[in-house]
Amino acid sequence: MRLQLDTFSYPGDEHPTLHGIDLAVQAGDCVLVAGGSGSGKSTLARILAAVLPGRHGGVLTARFDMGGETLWFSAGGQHSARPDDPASALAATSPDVVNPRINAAVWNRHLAYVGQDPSAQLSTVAATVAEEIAFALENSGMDRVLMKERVRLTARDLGLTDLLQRNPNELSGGEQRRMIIASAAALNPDFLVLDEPTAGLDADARRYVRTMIESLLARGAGIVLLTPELGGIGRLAARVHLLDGGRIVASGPRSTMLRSAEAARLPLLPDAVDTASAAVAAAAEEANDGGPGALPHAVQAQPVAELQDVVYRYGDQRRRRLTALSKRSLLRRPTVLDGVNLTLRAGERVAIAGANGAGKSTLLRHLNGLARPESGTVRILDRNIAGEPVGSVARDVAYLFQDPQDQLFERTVAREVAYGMPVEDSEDRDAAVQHALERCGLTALAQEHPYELPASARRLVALATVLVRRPSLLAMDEPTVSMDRDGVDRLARAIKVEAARGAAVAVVTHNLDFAYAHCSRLVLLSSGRIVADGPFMHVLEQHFGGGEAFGVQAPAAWMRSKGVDSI
Amino acid sequence: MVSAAPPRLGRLSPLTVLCAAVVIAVTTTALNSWAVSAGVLLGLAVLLASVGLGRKVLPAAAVIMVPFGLSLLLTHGLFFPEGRSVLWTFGPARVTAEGLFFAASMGLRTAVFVVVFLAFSFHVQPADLMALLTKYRTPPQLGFVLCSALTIAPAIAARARRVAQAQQARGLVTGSGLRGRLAAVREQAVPLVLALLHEAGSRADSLEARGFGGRSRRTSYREVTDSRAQQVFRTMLLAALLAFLVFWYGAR
Repeated sequence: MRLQLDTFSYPGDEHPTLHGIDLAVQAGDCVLVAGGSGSGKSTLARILAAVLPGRHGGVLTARFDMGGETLWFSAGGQHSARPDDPASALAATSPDVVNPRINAAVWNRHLAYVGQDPSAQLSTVAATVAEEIAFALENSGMDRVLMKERVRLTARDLGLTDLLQRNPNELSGGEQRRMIIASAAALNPDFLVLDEPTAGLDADARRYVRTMIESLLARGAGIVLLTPELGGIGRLAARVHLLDGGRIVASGPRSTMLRSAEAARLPLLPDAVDTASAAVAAAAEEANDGGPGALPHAVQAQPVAELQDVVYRYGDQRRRRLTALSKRSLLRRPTVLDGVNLTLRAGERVAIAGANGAGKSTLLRHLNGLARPESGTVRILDRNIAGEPVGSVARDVAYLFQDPQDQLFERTVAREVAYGMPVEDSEDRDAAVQHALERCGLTALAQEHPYELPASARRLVALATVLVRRPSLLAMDEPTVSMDRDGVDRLARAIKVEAARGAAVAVVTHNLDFAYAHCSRLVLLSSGRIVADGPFMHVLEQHFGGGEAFGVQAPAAWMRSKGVDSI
Repeated sequence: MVSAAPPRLGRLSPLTVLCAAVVIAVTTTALNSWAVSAGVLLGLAVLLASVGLGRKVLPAAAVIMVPFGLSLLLTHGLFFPEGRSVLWTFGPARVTAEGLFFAASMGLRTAVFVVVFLAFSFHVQPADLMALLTKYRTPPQLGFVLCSALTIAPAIAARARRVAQAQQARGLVTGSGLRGRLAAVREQAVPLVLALLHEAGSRADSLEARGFGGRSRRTSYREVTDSRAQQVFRTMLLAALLAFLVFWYGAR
């Protein structure tokens, strides 16, 4: 496969989003396209997937060699003939045209694509995980017997066998991501394009995805990974292209590119294993010993939030009596939190980690009343918040949702950040909004629509909505996912500043490399119970001797300091 | 966690249930008799209660029918120019027996329509319908639109809940009661529509990227029972409906 792209512009845009791209992938090759927020990664992925330009319009000038065919796209090309063209299977229109309409089902067999947001990729017509995995196979017209076998094997390879009969909507974000990857991999495509395939995945899930990619590579498939990370799953890539401003600015073997000046200049996340840097160790040392969020001081500080014996099961306990679940049927539902006790104090920076489905997000949702315990109490500052509306708890607790799509609803970034701020003193409010935008590097984007921004910038908008409120407690669910280095740096600074002014910060994360550098305390959750809680270093020493505990991978920098290679 | 199986009308295929729903709705509308509509409603209520769908369908039907019934009463009950038997007058409003009868009769007919199609939407699994339509080589886009129509209400409700949670997490407190609900609806309407439009766009992209809507013939992973007997029954039912309509309107 080879894409030689001259330019691509979205409809109405003066400047091209992508230009001067030459991406060739051979059978059995793994290629990493690394770029920061807004570099054009997702646009490139969607062009490879033939979603763009498609019905979106836009202007693409490119030559695409795929499956033995050459497809031409031209800005001025109106169905012009090209010489010596064989009958095209890929194009839905007559083969001898420029700008062909792609036959999605055939294209998909050659090149399958998995986008950033797994929930947006659900078919919505599948009743079970097995059917969702089979969706792409159904579209390719595969025989049912063969399809069942393919689904079974792919599910086994990705650790989804136990979930096959579940409803896809009931899976966690990480499980949904694996399911969508399984659906693409089940096609056994010639090429697989994966946009941030391991975002939000726990250690086990990452291993499954990695093994899956390795087995596809061994079978001769070509893989294109797009992420802002140089490490992680990107370590499978032999070749790296660095994308900046819609252009490939450097290409070469991974070992060379890691230490290139371009890699250092761009807002890419360095490989924690290769570069477990002194800066990370220093930051971790500060967070754990001398920093304002250090536990010895924090223990003296006032509790901001207290969860006492909290038990929670799925099933809405606030429903009206007529439709509420009976106590018996409620008790049959699985326990998500099972007797959780947790105190968060002013100035603390607490990381909450655990495998996918361990109950981390549910725990966090109890802190502002989005989830209510079946039994037990939740206290914020000096009050029990049972029966208190979420909107009222929000005075003291700011919540960062796992998916920014769930957080953002306004028409511009500025309106989004200002939402819910007191209107009595509009000057103060405007100044606070301006300050939050500056802290998140969003001043120039204040009038943009939040949905139109790249994933990393969307996350920063969500962060700004939290910071502007100056809450006593910041509850953040997977804040680092999809962020580039600039975003991660701003997040780290925000956590430090907020803790220093006396707020408690609770961060649910799979990214223990980030948590190690910026949090002082580590809470581990497994099957709805807290299995470890204490100063970060202490918990690492106690539980992570083997490099991994409770589905969580130890920080690479810490492993390196112990002289052990990360997985 | 395996989701509970939906209540089943025996082993009827979704297409058979759809056919029955169409026949009931069309016949009741054509007959245009309050007694028939009331009888059909009663029969449907008993049937739905016996198969365990009553608790789902009847409250949902009430949510639609109560405001609709009230609006019928206001428009036809109070202002029915053809009404002769005046029961009560207040200013320009005249409550007439004919107006009330018209409102009740129209309300009952609409209620039959609402109940049968709600019963269909609660009974059928969209995945079953999609599998059957694929089996009969219906264009996949049409199957998807039909299935989306079945799931649109819960999908909108879920998105509305997420918008509400996002707003509450940022300090929105909505009061209880009708006033509070109206205030919440006003606050959520625009974000909800924008979010749904955005979601529809990205869903269309990802379906395409997963090969949906290509020229190839689609197959189905899911197996759904649809016997020859049911196919014959459906054909006969639709033929009978056609014959009835020709007779009913031809005879007039």
